[in-house]
This record gives sequence, C-alpha cells and structure tokens, in this order.
Amino acid sequence: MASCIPRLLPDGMRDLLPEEALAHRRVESAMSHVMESWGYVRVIPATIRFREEVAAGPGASIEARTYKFADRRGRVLSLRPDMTTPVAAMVAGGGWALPAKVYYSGSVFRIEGDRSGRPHEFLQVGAEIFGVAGAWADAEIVALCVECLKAAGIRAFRIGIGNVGATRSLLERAGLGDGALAGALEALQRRDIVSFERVALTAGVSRAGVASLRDSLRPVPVDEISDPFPGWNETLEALRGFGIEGAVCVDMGIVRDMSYYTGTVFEVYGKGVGRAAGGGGRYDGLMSRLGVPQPATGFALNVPEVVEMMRAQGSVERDQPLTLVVATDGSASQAGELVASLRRKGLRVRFDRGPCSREEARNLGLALGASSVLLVTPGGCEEIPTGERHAGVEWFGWMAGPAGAAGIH
Amino acid sequence: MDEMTIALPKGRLLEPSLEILRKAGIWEGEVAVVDGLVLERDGMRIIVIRDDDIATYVASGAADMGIVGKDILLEQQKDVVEIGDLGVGVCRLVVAAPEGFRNPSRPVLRVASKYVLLAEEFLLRKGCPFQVIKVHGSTELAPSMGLADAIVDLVQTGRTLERNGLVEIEEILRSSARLIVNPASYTMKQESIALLASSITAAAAAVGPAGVTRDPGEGRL
Repeated sequence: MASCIPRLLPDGMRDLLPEEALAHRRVESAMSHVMESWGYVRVIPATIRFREEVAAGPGASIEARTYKFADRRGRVLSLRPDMTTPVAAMVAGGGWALPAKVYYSGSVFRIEGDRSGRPHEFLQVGAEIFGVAGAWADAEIVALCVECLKAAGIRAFRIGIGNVGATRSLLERAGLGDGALAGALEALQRRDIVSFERVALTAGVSRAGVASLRDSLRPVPVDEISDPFPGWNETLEALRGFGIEGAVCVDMGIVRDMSYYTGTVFEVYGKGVGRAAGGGGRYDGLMSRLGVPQPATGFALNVPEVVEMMRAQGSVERDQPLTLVVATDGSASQAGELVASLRRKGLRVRFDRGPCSREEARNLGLALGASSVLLVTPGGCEEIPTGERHAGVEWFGWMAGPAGAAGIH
Repeated sequence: MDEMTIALPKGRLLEPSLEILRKAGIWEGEVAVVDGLVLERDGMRIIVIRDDDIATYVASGAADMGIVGKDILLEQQKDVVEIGDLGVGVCRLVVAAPEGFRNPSRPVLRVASKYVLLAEEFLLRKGCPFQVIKVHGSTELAPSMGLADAIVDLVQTGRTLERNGLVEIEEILRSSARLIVNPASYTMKQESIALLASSITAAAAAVGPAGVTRDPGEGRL
C-alpha cells in the first residue's frame, strides 16, 4: 500500500478554517487600520531569530519554551516567542527618526504544557513607541490598545495597570532582600498570592506588613487610589485625556512574564475569555541590552483571544455578500463577461463552471452563504432564488461538504 | 454583586468548603454530593465537580472561583490567581515504601503516583534513576502488588500507609485548601471578588482546625 501523508498536526498547531480565518482577518485589519490612522508605521520582522536574542530579550523561562533548530553553521535558532524583541532589534539597528512609532502583526510561537489547550502559534497585533520616556507615551499605548479593542467590536473589557519598578521598590521598602525579592516577584508572576505572603513572612516582614502588602497588590478602581506609583498621576491624567480612565483599574500585583519590563505594565481582560487577551508596558532596559540605550513602551493583543471575546460579546463578523455565478457548458465566455462586469462594480463574485442543475446551483449557493446565485446557460442568465437565508449557514455547510456533491469542477 | 460561579470539590474538601461558605453567609443549606451538581441562587452558582477538575474550570473562566488543594494546584500548573489559604484539608505529599525498603533495590526505582509532575520533580533532585508510573487512585496498593517499589501520595493520618505495610521515607510538601480565582474575573469582577474573598478567608480562619500551624516555608520544597 502506498504510504499516506499524515493529516495530523504537531502538538499545539492549528489550521484556521474559513470562518476562523475570516474572524482573524477582520480583527487584524480593524486593528491595523487604527494603527495606521494613529500614524504608526508597519514593520514585518523575521520569524526565525538567534536563540541568544530570545534569552536576552523575553528571558530564560520564555526561551526554554521556544521551538529550536540549527542553521548550516550549527548556530541555534528559535521561532520568535514575541514580537517586541525583534521590533526593538530592528529599531536598534539604526536609521530611524525618533521618536519612532511602529506596529506589526504576525505569529508568535511558544511551546505550552501538555493538554493546556493553548495553541503554540498565534497571531499578535501590537505597537511600540521608541524614544519617549514620559508617562504620556505609556498612556498613548494603553489608549491605542483600547482603540484597537473597540475597533474589533469589543465592549466589555478592563485593563489592569501596574508598575513593575514600583512593585519592586514597594517590596524592597517592606524589607525583602535580594533572594526573597526574586522569590516574591516569581510568586506574583504566577499570581500565587499565598506563596508570595509566605515568602514575605519568611523574609521577616511582620503580619501587619504582609496584610498591607496584600492590600497594595490587589486590583482597585482608579478613583479609589491616590498615588500607587511615581508617574501614575501623570499617566491617569493622560488616560483621562484619551477618555479611557473608566476602562482601567490599578493592579500593582501585575508582573508580566517577559523579563524586559521595567515600568508601567498592563494586562487586558474581557468578558467571555478567562485568559488575558494581551498586554504590554514599558521596557527601557531592553534597548540598552541591544546596545542602544533608549526608552521604549508597547503592547500586543492576542488575536485568538480577541476573536473569542468578540463572539462571546455577540459581535459577529460578516463578510461582504457573495454572488455565485455558475456557467453550464457552452456559456463560459458569456458568463465570463458577466463576472468581470460584476467584479468591476465591486461585488464579491465566485465563478464556477460545469454541468449543473438549478437545484445543485441553489444548494451550492446556500452552502457558501451566497446572497445571490446566477445560473448562466446558453439560453441566458437566470437568478436562482435561494429562499430564506439561514443566518447561521456561513461555513457550516462547507464543513458538511454538500458543495462537493454539486458536481462542479 | 456580579454573577459568580464557585466550583467546589467532591470528596474530603466538600464539607469543610461548604461550612466556610455557610459561615461567610454566601451559601445556606445542604448540598447533595452529586458530580456536576449545579445550584443557583441570586446570581450565585455553586458547582460540585471532581477536585482534579477545579483548576481547569477556574483557569478557563467556566468558574470564577474555586476551592482546591495546593497539591493539585502544584501538580496541574494552571493559570489561576491563588488568593487565600483556607487552612482546611491539611495533608502532606510524601514518598513511602514498604518497611525495610533499601534504595536502590533495582537499577531503576519505580514510583507509582497520581502526582506525576511533583514526583518527577522530587526524584530528579535526588539524582537516582527512576520511573514514575501514573495511577489514578489506591496508590498504596502498588508496592504490594509489584507494580512499583515506592509511592508518592497524600497522607492525612498515616493510617492508610500503615495498613498497607508502608512507611514514610520523606515529605515532599504540605498542602491545604486554597481559594483560587480566574485571572479575568479577578480583574473584571474585582469588587465582587474582593468582597467574597475577604468574607471567605475570614470564615475559614474561624473554621480552620485549631492548633494547625501554618508553616511559612510550606509550598514547593
């Protein structure tokens, strides 16, 4: 027996079928449009990176979760686990007018635990500002993130904002020394508040001190907090300027998993999705590690989570209506002219040729969710009524495969 | 108050968990121990599911909050916010073997456990060759049946070990029931979560077994 090509995908890999691919494209293009309208320029970083870049950028724990292979000279390469480091490396390469505002869209790759259900490859859309240190740049990044969510049709969301630098000094002031500090931050990063409190107690912080740390490190509405970290008032003022302070809360317990964050950090949560849909923050240290000391701040949204949120919040993506033109034998050139003229008018037209009955053309049209079906025969052109269109037909018909039964080639 | 779903584990933690919720004024009345039970009142839902599934429900957002043992949290490594130690369901994860056990009795030590990850992490640090055999229950039978040389399992009183001719060799960690929250709920429903969490932990402090000292070094060894 001839060997068969396996139809399975490697762990964590997913094909996006038409419905999913459409939703991804919708989100991606809505967000790209916002970025463009804010004057950000698009860059497309390379997918394959040197391992050293990943270890120095996102850090060792992320580096351990990258797909690795070797080049011809035996150097170890990684599929990029984030976009910020490659974009920062690009800007560090020089030739940019500062401040630089850039955006990107592309897949990132991270190996996840067995059966976690998380894909190992997913699309991220994000933006970065290089060369501005002020709180307003952080606020602009948050505002741009909010605008992108709104453009994708997300209404119910909340952004938790913290500041890793301030959280670190809060812990130092509470009496956590070097070793305990690393352990405490690691516990916070896992969001394990119980272990965090144990570390603090072991390091000699009093019970009252631990209780006050607990209060300082939980999310609170912005109007209930006066000055959680240096620069917050400025940031809040800027957020008010963008009119988005209502979408924000302060959470000093946020310590992101990328090791390069130094200042303001934030995470995006929305109704209908249990995980963060993205986040970002200030990473002034990364550019100096790339040899060009420079302040920088940015964010990324994970498109699959945004899509999930969109669906959960009842925002549906509709494709432009489809016209199906089917030409039976002997009518191809006549139909070809019709199709070309419809397309020139801006319609979305799918053209099929082959022996086809009115019933088959109608079924194919239904399966494709076509808004109109035209059957072209040597005798002329006829519009086939498809009847009441089911709102949910979309691509489910495609999955069931009736299109294949229509006998069209 | 936002709508809220709380996941409680079937088994030994159910009764103490319910007692805490009653004392906290969150839930009154009895709960029949039926797998998958859903109770609903005033926007508050209580579901009773297997302890192994609590973190999965909470991590995905299918439940906003849950109560589960630290042993399971460490074994499963889910993305949840662990906000409180409820001090009930105290137990220890230990390595145990038949009396008179000598290591190494074989070239490769065979260890049966439900806690594959924790057993592996512990044995890796010991530096001896080993093989962990996953079992789903009645771990204590494995040595006498010849399935394994030793086991890694939870002990509460130690009587189960004794009955099966096993002795504790080393403690891996101590566990107790933890209150966990979905990360998105933690931010999206912060006000309700903060209210519930403080009344639950306060009630737990009142319910918790007297004289149980909370070792500050507890957790991962």
